[in-house]
Amino acid sequence: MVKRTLLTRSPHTTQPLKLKPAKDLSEEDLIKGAVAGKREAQHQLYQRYAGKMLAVSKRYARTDFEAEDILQDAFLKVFTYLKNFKGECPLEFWVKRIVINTALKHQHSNRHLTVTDQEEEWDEASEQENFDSQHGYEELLQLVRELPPRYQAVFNLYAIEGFSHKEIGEMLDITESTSKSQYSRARASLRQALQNLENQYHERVIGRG
Amino acid sequence: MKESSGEDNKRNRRVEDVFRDGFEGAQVPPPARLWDNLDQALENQELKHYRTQAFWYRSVAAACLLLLLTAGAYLWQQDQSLFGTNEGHLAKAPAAKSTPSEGASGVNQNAINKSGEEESTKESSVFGSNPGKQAKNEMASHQSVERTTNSLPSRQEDKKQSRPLSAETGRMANSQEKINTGAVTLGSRGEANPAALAISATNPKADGAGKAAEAAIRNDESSSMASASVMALESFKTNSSLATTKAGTAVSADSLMNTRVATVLYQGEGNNLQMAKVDVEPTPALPEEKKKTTLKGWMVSLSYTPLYAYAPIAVAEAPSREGIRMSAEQQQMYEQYDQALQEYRESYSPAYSYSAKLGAGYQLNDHWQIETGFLYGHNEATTTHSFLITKADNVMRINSAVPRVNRPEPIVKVAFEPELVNNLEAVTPTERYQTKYKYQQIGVPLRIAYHKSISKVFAFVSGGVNLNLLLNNRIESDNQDVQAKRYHYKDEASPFRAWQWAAATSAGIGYQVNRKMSLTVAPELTYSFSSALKESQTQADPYQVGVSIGGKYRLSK
Repeated sequence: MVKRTLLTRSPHTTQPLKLKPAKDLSEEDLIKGAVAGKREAQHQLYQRYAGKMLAVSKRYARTDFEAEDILQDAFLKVFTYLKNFKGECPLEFWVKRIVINTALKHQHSNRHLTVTDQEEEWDEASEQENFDSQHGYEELLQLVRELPPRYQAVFNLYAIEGFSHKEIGEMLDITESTSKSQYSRARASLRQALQNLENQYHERVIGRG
Repeated sequence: MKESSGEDNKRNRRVEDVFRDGFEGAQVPPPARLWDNLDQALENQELKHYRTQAFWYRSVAAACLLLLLTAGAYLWQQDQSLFGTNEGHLAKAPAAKSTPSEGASGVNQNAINKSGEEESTKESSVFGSNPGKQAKNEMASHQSVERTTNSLPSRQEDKKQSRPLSAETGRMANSQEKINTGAVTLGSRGEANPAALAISATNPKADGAGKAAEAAIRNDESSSMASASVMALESFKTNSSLATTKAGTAVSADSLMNTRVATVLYQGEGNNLQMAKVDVEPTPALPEEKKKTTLKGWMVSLSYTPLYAYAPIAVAEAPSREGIRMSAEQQQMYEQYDQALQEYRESYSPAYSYSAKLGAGYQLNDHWQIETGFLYGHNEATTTHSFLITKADNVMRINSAVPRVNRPEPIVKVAFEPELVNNLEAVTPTERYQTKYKYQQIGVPLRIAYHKSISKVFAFVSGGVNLNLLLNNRIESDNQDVQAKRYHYKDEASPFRAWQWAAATSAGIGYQVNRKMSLTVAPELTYSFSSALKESQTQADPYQVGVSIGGKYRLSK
């Protein structure tokens, strides 16, 4: 079902991003500067959030290139609309929301998705759900990217971002029940994939031993 | 990241937990080019924004100009009709033109009425009556003129229109009323001299003899239509015609004061008509009044000046290479730098530039006036390049796999970063491209001007200073590798001086369209005391030469 190259177990496939030491400017100052069009302030804000946001956009994109495109578009929007940011939530959430929206828009405009009826019947809830091993970011990313595009978005939005199915329905212009059903399929698929990973892992451990 | 998960959490986790833990706090370092792209995109976005803004500024400026011109034209027209009386017949021409035929018909009517009304008037000529027949005559003329006025309401309008004319020459308004009693005034043609007005010559010392005089005045200068006045002057003693008598005296007194030379037909002894030349003084009030109004007052002005704006940015020469050993590559690089510099200097050419000024001025006296206002200037210039220069990186590259390449720049960059010339990495020949420099500035001009009028034309010289604020500088190249630069006056990093002083002088001629409006054309020279760049050692002071075209409008009466 899922063809996958052997993934490394290292939890550190990605090193935490080393940011340039920012000048002693508060975020508020940076926002002000960026709103005024100061490129240095914009750059610093970008440096603050680009790493996290690229990780987010990667989850929604099919390829790294697409993720970078999304990130660039999103930051362009961030700087354009930053003057509208009222500080009602942390800037990170606001930026993240823009990244997600941009990603969804990309998905919508680039792929003209209709969920392909690759109706693999995931045998839901028949298996136990006890995953005991840890998985790295890249490894999990790979799993998510192998989902059909729409499932990928729904899974991200519900499981990771924590939106309700109703909200997801509005965001993706689908019904709540479609969101639910797509989610459960995505979930089942991922569970199976995780299961396979676990099995491979155990096999290797046993094999070595 | 996930490594922080505790041992307990490793067990019995749901799918969601696995992914949430795995993704939480994850960061992926974005490639460096991502920021470069974003930087470029932001730059383009700003440029687009400023272009739109510039478009709006220009549209608004054009709309204002149009509005002012329209308002000016309207006020000019109004002005002509309001002050036309002072200007004389010129302004009255349209109103007066319709008069002759109507006036003539009035006369005919009058004549017909007279002849038809009463047999006895047949004996009397249109020009007058015998003293003995005055009663009848008077009645006849009363009746006839009443009829005339009733049947021809337009005649009254004619009279009204002619009223200001008479006012000018000496307030004949009263007489106009009285003319109804026996005099018919014909509007003269537009070309007619104001003096060609109805006057009656009468003897102020006329005693009880009840001598009546009728005067018909022909305007010699008027080519076609004669203006005639038939005045019936009544005896002082005739009670029934007291009003008329008053009219007669009033008219004679007033008109004598104001008319120039007119041929007067009057009734002498018997029924003979006689001609006499009446010498009359021109009204002295008119020029006096005019003089008074030109003395002091506020005015607004508007001008547009296409400019030749010379404001090159001086670029430093390559450092002396004598006695310094350098590689062949370096040698070549500096040779190319010299070429690039020469090309830059030779290709500098100012493009379409202009300034627009909205001014408010105060006329101190007949000759002197001071002016201030608001000034907007837009300067453009271009240079042509065949080379790009690249700055060497001062910082040691830690990771050579991801080179941080400095953007190539046109040679003008050296002017902004003087140390760059000692720190060149490469001078690369490239396809020929153009760089455009655009400056926008606003300013407050302060001028003093001296005027000398020769009738409607006047000459003037003016001088003063401008305090200008350089709003925006844009440097754009049509080479794709070169990033556009924009400096705002608030940018501390801007190499341009924000505030600049300039001396401005101009000498020109003007034409007084009417008492309120005048048009001017004046060559103008503006010289900046301060160079455009903050680094001013090598910078030439900019100057601008232009011809301003403008208009002035006087606010006070």
